[in-house]
Amino acid sequence: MSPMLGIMASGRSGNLAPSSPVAGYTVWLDAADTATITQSGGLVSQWTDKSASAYTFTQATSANQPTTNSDTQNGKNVLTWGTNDFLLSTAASSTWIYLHNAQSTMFFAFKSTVNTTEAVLLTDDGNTSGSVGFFVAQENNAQLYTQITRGVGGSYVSSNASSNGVLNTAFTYVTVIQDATNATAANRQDTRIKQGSAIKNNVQTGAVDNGNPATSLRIGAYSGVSNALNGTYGEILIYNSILSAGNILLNQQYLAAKWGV
Amino acid sequence: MWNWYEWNSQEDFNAWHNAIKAKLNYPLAGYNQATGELDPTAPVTTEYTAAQLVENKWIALVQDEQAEGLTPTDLRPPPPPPRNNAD
Repeated sequence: MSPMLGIMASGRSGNLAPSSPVAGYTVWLDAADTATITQSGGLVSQWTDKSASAYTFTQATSANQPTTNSDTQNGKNVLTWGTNDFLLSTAASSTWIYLHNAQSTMFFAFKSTVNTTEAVLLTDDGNTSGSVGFFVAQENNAQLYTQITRGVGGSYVSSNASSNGVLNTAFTYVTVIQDATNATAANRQDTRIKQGSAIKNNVQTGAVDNGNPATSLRIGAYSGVSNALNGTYGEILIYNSILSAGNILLNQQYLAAKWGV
Repeated sequence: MWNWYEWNSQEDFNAWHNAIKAKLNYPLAGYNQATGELDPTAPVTTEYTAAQLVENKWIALVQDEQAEGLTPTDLRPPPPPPRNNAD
Protein backbone atom coordinates (compact mmCIF):
# COMPACT_ATOMS: atom_id res chain seq x y z
CA MET A 1 0.00 0.00 0.00
CA SER A 2 1.39 3.36 -0.95
CA PRO A 3 1.80 5.99 1.76
CA MET A 4 -1.05 8.01 0.28
CA LEU A 5 -3.39 5.03 0.15
CA GLY A 6 -2.34 4.13 3.66
CA ILE A 7 -3.49 7.53 4.91
CA MET A 8 -6.76 7.23 3.06
CA ALA A 9 -7.34 3.69 4.22
CA SER A 10 -6.73 4.59 7.83
CA GLY A 11 -10.22 6.04 7.83
CA ARG A 12 -11.45 8.28 10.58
CA SER A 13 -8.59 9.82 12.51
CA GLY A 14 -8.61 11.80 15.71
CA ASN A 15 -8.96 14.95 13.66
CA LEU A 16 -12.01 13.57 11.93
CA ALA A 17 -13.96 12.48 14.98
CA PRO A 18 -17.72 13.04 14.73
CA SER A 19 -18.87 16.46 15.85
CA SER A 20 -22.22 15.17 17.08
CA PRO A 21 -23.52 11.91 18.50
CA VAL A 22 -25.09 9.13 16.47
CA ALA A 23 -28.77 9.89 15.80
CA GLY A 24 -31.55 8.11 17.63
CA TYR A 25 -30.76 9.10 21.21
CA THR A 26 -33.64 9.25 23.65
CA VAL A 27 -31.69 11.50 26.03
CA TRP A 28 -28.81 13.87 25.26
CA LEU A 29 -27.61 16.04 28.11
CA ASP A 30 -24.75 18.33 27.14
CA ALA A 31 -23.19 20.66 29.69
CA ALA A 32 -21.11 22.31 26.98
CA ASP A 33 -24.33 23.72 25.51
CA THR A 34 -25.09 26.34 28.12
CA ALA A 35 -28.39 27.16 26.45
CA THR A 36 -29.67 23.92 27.98
CA ILE A 37 -28.78 24.96 31.52
CA THR A 38 -30.97 27.06 33.78
CA GLN A 39 -29.15 28.60 36.72
CA SER A 40 -29.43 31.26 39.37
CA GLY A 41 -26.19 32.49 40.86
CA GLY A 42 -24.39 29.56 39.27
CA LEU A 43 -26.64 26.97 40.93
CA VAL A 44 -28.41 24.76 38.40
CA SER A 45 -32.15 24.32 38.75
CA GLN A 46 -32.64 22.56 35.40
CA TRP A 47 -30.67 20.67 32.75
CA THR A 48 -32.69 20.12 29.58
CA ASP A 49 -32.23 17.14 27.28
CA LYS A 50 -31.52 17.91 23.61
CA SER A 51 -33.55 15.01 22.20
CA ALA A 52 -36.93 15.60 20.59
CA SER A 53 -38.54 14.73 23.93
CA ALA A 54 -36.75 17.61 25.70
CA TYR A 55 -36.84 15.86 29.05
CA THR A 56 -36.10 18.16 31.96
CA PHE A 57 -34.00 17.24 34.99
CA THR A 58 -34.56 19.63 37.86
CA GLN A 59 -33.62 20.42 41.43
CA ALA A 60 -35.66 22.89 43.47
CA THR A 61 -33.46 22.98 46.57
CA SER A 62 -30.39 25.20 46.43
CA ALA A 63 -28.34 22.97 48.72
CA ASN A 64 -28.76 20.08 46.30
CA GLN A 65 -28.12 21.95 43.05
CA PRO A 66 -25.00 21.32 40.96
CA THR A 67 -22.97 24.34 39.86
CA THR A 68 -22.38 25.64 36.36
CA ASN A 69 -19.84 28.01 34.88
CA SER A 70 -17.20 27.17 37.49
CA ASP A 71 -15.27 24.30 35.85
CA THR A 72 -14.30 23.39 32.30
CA GLN A 73 -12.97 20.30 30.55
CA ASN A 74 -11.11 20.75 27.27
CA GLY A 75 -12.31 24.35 27.29
CA LYS A 76 -15.97 23.39 27.57
CA ASN A 77 -18.38 24.02 30.39
CA VAL A 78 -19.12 21.13 32.75
CA LEU A 79 -21.51 20.90 35.69
CA THR A 80 -19.80 20.64 39.06
CA TRP A 81 -21.32 18.07 41.38
CA GLY A 82 -20.97 18.44 45.14
CA THR A 83 -21.44 15.72 47.71
CA ASN A 84 -25.18 16.39 48.03
CA ASP A 85 -26.24 17.26 44.51
CA PHE A 86 -28.65 15.53 42.18
CA LEU A 87 -31.08 16.31 39.38
CA LEU A 88 -34.35 14.42 38.96
CA SER A 89 -36.31 13.81 35.78
CA THR A 90 -39.72 15.43 35.76
CA ALA A 91 -41.02 12.65 33.50
CA ALA A 92 -43.08 9.82 34.96
CA SER A 93 -40.93 6.96 36.23
CA SER A 94 -42.63 4.72 33.65
CA THR A 95 -40.72 6.63 30.98
CA TRP A 96 -37.55 4.84 32.04
CA ILE A 97 -38.77 1.23 32.27
CA TYR A 98 -36.64 0.22 29.29
CA LEU A 99 -33.53 0.92 31.32
CA HIS A 100 -34.25 -2.10 33.50
CA ASN A 101 -36.34 -4.46 31.38
CA ALA A 102 -35.10 -4.09 27.81
CA GLN A 103 -32.18 -2.89 25.69
CA SER A 104 -30.27 0.34 26.03
CA THR A 105 -26.90 1.93 25.33
CA MET A 106 -25.62 4.75 27.50
CA PHE A 107 -22.56 6.97 27.35
CA PHE A 108 -21.24 9.15 30.19
CA ALA A 109 -18.51 11.81 30.11
CA PHE A 110 -17.67 12.69 33.70
CA LYS A 111 -15.19 12.89 36.52
CA SER A 112 -15.70 11.57 40.01
CA THR A 113 -13.24 12.50 42.73
CA VAL A 114 -14.57 9.59 44.81
CA ASN A 115 -12.73 6.29 44.65
CA THR A 116 -13.36 4.96 48.14
CA THR A 117 -17.14 4.80 48.21
CA GLU A 118 -19.97 4.62 45.72
CA ALA A 119 -20.50 7.62 43.45
CA VAL A 120 -23.69 7.43 41.40
CA LEU A 121 -23.73 8.52 37.77
CA LEU A 122 -27.33 7.62 36.94
CA THR A 123 -30.08 5.61 38.60
CA ASP A 124 -33.78 5.05 38.97
CA ASP A 125 -33.34 2.43 41.66
CA GLY A 126 -34.54 3.40 45.11
CA ASN A 127 -31.35 2.06 46.67
CA THR A 128 -33.29 -0.12 49.05
CA SER A 129 -33.40 -3.85 49.17
CA GLY A 130 -36.07 -5.06 46.82
CA SER A 131 -36.43 -1.95 44.68
CA VAL A 132 -36.78 -2.03 40.90
CA GLY A 133 -34.52 -0.12 38.56
CA PHE A 134 -30.85 0.19 37.67
CA PHE A 135 -27.77 2.14 38.57
CA VAL A 136 -24.44 3.08 37.05
CA ALA A 137 -21.76 4.05 39.56
CA GLN A 138 -18.10 4.55 40.18
CA GLU A 139 -17.69 2.13 43.04
CA ASN A 140 -15.23 1.31 45.80
CA ASN A 141 -11.70 0.62 44.58
CA ALA A 142 -12.24 2.62 41.38
CA GLN A 143 -14.58 0.08 39.84
CA LEU A 144 -17.24 0.78 37.26
CA TYR A 145 -20.37 -0.88 38.64
CA THR A 146 -23.73 -1.37 36.97
CA GLN A 147 -26.74 -3.27 38.24
CA ILE A 148 -30.34 -4.03 37.24
CA THR A 149 -32.63 -4.78 40.16
CA ARG A 150 -35.91 -6.68 40.07
CA GLY A 151 -37.77 -5.96 43.28
CA VAL A 152 -36.38 -8.98 45.10
CA GLY A 153 -33.77 -8.51 47.77
CA GLY A 154 -30.58 -10.38 47.03
CA SER A 155 -31.63 -11.33 43.51
CA TYR A 156 -30.75 -9.32 40.43
CA VAL A 157 -31.30 -9.25 36.72
CA SER A 158 -27.69 -8.27 36.30
CA SER A 159 -24.78 -7.03 38.36
CA ASN A 160 -21.64 -6.17 36.46
CA ALA A 161 -18.59 -5.01 38.37
CA SER A 162 -15.32 -4.27 36.67
CA SER A 163 -12.04 -5.21 38.26
CA ASN A 164 -10.54 -2.71 40.68
CA GLY A 165 -8.71 0.34 39.44
CA VAL A 166 -10.21 0.70 35.97
CA LEU A 167 -11.31 4.24 36.81
CA ASN A 168 -9.49 7.03 38.60
CA THR A 169 -10.34 10.58 39.56
CA ALA A 170 -9.63 12.04 36.13
CA PHE A 171 -12.24 13.08 33.57
CA THR A 172 -13.17 10.11 31.38
CA TYR A 173 -16.00 8.54 29.41
CA VAL A 174 -17.64 5.15 29.71
CA THR A 175 -20.16 3.10 27.75
CA VAL A 176 -22.88 0.93 29.28
CA ILE A 177 -24.77 -1.56 27.10
CA GLN A 178 -27.78 -3.36 28.58
CA ASP A 179 -29.78 -6.30 27.30
CA ALA A 180 -31.85 -7.22 30.34
CA THR A 181 -33.56 -10.31 28.96
CA ASN A 182 -30.56 -11.87 27.25
CA ALA A 183 -30.51 -15.60 28.01
CA THR A 184 -26.75 -15.47 28.56
CA ALA A 185 -26.03 -13.76 31.86
CA ALA A 186 -22.72 -12.29 30.74
CA ASN A 187 -24.46 -10.54 27.86
CA ARG A 188 -26.95 -8.66 30.03
CA GLN A 189 -24.58 -5.81 30.83
CA ASP A 190 -21.43 -4.80 28.98
CA THR A 191 -19.38 -1.79 30.04
CA ARG A 192 -16.37 -0.12 28.43
CA ILE A 193 -13.86 2.39 29.76
CA LYS A 194 -13.08 4.85 26.97
CA GLN A 195 -12.54 2.60 23.93
CA GLY A 196 -11.44 -0.36 25.98
CA SER A 197 -12.58 -3.94 25.74
CA ALA A 198 -15.95 -5.19 26.97
CA ILE A 199 -16.38 -5.81 30.71
CA LYS A 200 -18.99 -8.57 31.07
CA ASN A 201 -18.84 -10.10 34.53
CA ASN A 202 -22.52 -10.64 35.34
CA VAL A 203 -23.58 -14.04 36.62
CA GLN A 204 -27.03 -13.05 37.88
CA THR A 205 -29.98 -14.67 36.10
CA GLY A 206 -33.05 -13.12 37.72
CA ALA A 207 -36.05 -12.37 35.52
CA VAL A 208 -36.81 -8.73 34.84
CA ASP A 209 -39.58 -6.91 36.67
CA ASN A 210 -41.81 -5.11 34.18
CA GLY A 211 -43.12 -2.61 36.70
CA ASN A 212 -42.06 1.01 37.02
CA PRO A 213 -38.66 1.84 38.52
CA ALA A 214 -38.55 2.98 42.12
CA THR A 215 -38.01 6.61 41.15
CA SER A 216 -37.81 8.68 38.04
CA LEU A 217 -34.35 9.04 36.55
CA ARG A 218 -31.85 10.63 38.94
CA ILE A 219 -28.54 12.10 37.82
CA GLY A 220 -25.60 12.09 40.19
CA ALA A 221 -26.89 10.61 43.46
CA TYR A 222 -29.37 8.39 45.22
CA SER A 223 -31.87 9.96 47.57
CA GLY A 224 -30.28 10.98 50.83
CA VAL A 225 -27.02 12.74 51.44
CA SER A 226 -24.50 10.20 50.27
CA ASN A 227 -23.29 8.53 47.09
CA ALA A 228 -23.22 11.71 45.02
CA LEU A 229 -20.95 11.95 42.01
CA ASN A 230 -18.76 14.57 43.68
CA GLY A 231 -16.97 15.61 40.52
CA THR A 232 -17.99 17.04 37.17
CA TYR A 233 -20.45 16.01 34.48
CA GLY A 234 -19.98 16.82 30.81
CA GLU A 235 -22.45 14.70 28.90
CA ILE A 236 -24.95 11.84 29.02
CA LEU A 237 -26.33 9.99 26.00
CA ILE A 238 -29.02 7.30 26.22
CA TYR A 239 -30.44 5.12 23.44
CA ASN A 240 -33.34 2.69 23.85
CA SER A 241 -31.57 0.06 21.76
CA ILE A 242 -28.19 -1.59 21.49
CA LEU A 243 -26.12 0.40 19.04
CA SER A 244 -24.00 -1.35 16.45
CA ALA A 245 -20.31 -1.73 17.20
CA GLY A 246 -19.55 0.92 14.61
CA ASN A 247 -21.97 3.42 16.10
CA ILE A 248 -20.67 2.76 19.62
CA LEU A 249 -17.17 3.55 18.38
CA LEU A 250 -18.39 6.72 16.65
CA ASN A 251 -19.92 8.00 19.87
CA GLN A 252 -16.78 7.08 21.82
CA GLN A 253 -14.68 9.00 19.29
CA TYR A 254 -17.08 11.93 19.51
CA LEU A 255 -16.77 12.05 23.31
CA ALA A 256 -13.00 11.56 23.25
CA ALA A 257 -12.47 14.45 20.86
CA LYS A 258 -15.01 16.77 22.43
CA TRP A 259 -13.81 16.36 26.00
CA GLY A 260 -10.12 15.87 25.22
CA VAL A 261 -9.73 12.49 26.89
CA MET B 1 -19.13 27.05 51.24
CA TRP B 2 -21.92 24.75 52.31
CA ASN B 3 -21.52 22.98 55.64
CA TRP B 4 -23.70 20.95 57.97
CA TYR B 5 -25.55 22.75 60.77
CA GLU B 6 -27.96 21.31 63.28
CA TRP B 7 -31.30 22.01 64.99
CA ASN B 8 -32.96 20.34 67.94
CA SER B 9 -36.28 19.85 66.20
CA GLN B 10 -37.92 20.07 62.84
CA GLU B 11 -39.99 22.98 64.12
CA ASP B 12 -36.81 24.90 64.94
CA PHE B 13 -35.46 24.15 61.49
CA ASN B 14 -38.72 25.16 59.80
CA ALA B 15 -38.75 28.51 61.59
CA TRP B 16 -35.16 29.24 60.57
CA HIS B 17 -35.74 27.99 57.02
CA ASN B 18 -38.80 30.17 56.52
CA ALA B 19 -36.85 33.19 57.74
CA ILE B 20 -33.83 32.58 55.51
CA LYS B 21 -36.06 32.04 52.49
CA ALA B 22 -37.80 35.36 53.13
CA LYS B 23 -34.43 37.09 53.58
CA LEU B 24 -33.09 35.66 50.30
CA ASN B 25 -36.34 36.30 48.38
CA TYR B 26 -37.18 32.69 47.62
CA PRO B 27 -38.53 31.29 45.39
CA LEU B 28 -35.74 32.12 42.94
CA ALA B 29 -36.40 32.22 39.22
CA GLY B 30 -33.93 30.56 36.87
CA TYR B 31 -31.96 32.15 34.04
CA ASN B 32 -30.70 30.63 30.83
CA GLN B 33 -26.96 30.37 31.28
CA ALA B 34 -26.15 31.13 27.66
CA THR B 35 -28.26 34.25 27.29
CA GLY B 36 -28.81 35.46 30.82
CA GLU B 37 -32.51 35.74 30.04
CA LEU B 38 -35.10 34.72 32.59
CA ASP B 39 -36.34 31.25 31.70
CA PRO B 40 -40.07 31.24 32.41
CA THR B 41 -40.34 27.58 31.47
CA ALA B 42 -37.90 26.40 34.12
CA PRO B 43 -39.09 25.53 37.60
CA VAL B 44 -38.18 28.00 40.31
CA THR B 45 -35.92 27.15 43.24
CA THR B 46 -38.35 26.86 46.10
CA GLU B 47 -36.20 25.62 48.98
CA TYR B 48 -32.93 26.95 50.34
CA THR B 49 -31.99 23.68 51.97
CA ALA B 50 -33.54 20.48 53.32
CA ALA B 51 -33.26 19.03 56.80
CA GLN B 52 -32.67 15.39 57.57
CA LEU B 53 -32.84 13.53 60.84
CA VAL B 54 -29.48 11.97 61.62
CA GLU B 55 -28.62 10.57 65.04
CA ASN B 56 -31.49 12.48 66.65
CA LYS B 57 -30.39 15.82 65.25
CA TRP B 58 -31.99 17.73 62.41
CA ILE B 59 -29.15 18.64 60.12
CA ALA B 60 -29.04 20.64 56.90
CA LEU B 61 -26.51 22.12 54.54
CA VAL B 62 -26.15 25.88 54.95
CA GLN B 63 -23.77 28.35 53.34
CA ASP B 64 -21.40 29.65 55.98
CA GLU B 65 -22.31 33.25 55.20
CA GLN B 66 -25.97 32.49 55.99
CA ALA B 67 -25.23 30.51 59.17
CA GLU B 68 -24.98 33.27 61.75
CA GLY B 69 -26.27 31.99 65.07
CA LEU B 70 -26.47 28.38 63.91
CA THR B 71 -24.65 25.48 65.50
CA PRO B 72 -22.24 23.63 63.23
CA THR B 73 -22.61 19.91 63.54
CA ASP B 74 -19.75 17.66 64.49
CA LEU B 75 -21.48 14.67 63.00
CA ARG B 76 -19.54 12.74 60.49
CA PRO B 77 -21.21 12.33 57.14
CA PRO B 78 -24.05 9.86 57.58
CA PRO B 79 -23.43 6.31 56.48
CA PRO B 80 -24.61 5.27 53.06
CA PRO B 81 -28.15 3.95 52.83
CA PRO B 82 -28.56 0.17 52.65
CA ARG B 83 -26.94 -1.16 49.53
CA ASN B 84 -28.44 -3.72 47.25
CA ASN B 85 -25.24 -4.75 45.55
CA ALA B 86 -24.71 -8.31 44.67
CA ASP B 87 -22.24 -9.96 46.93
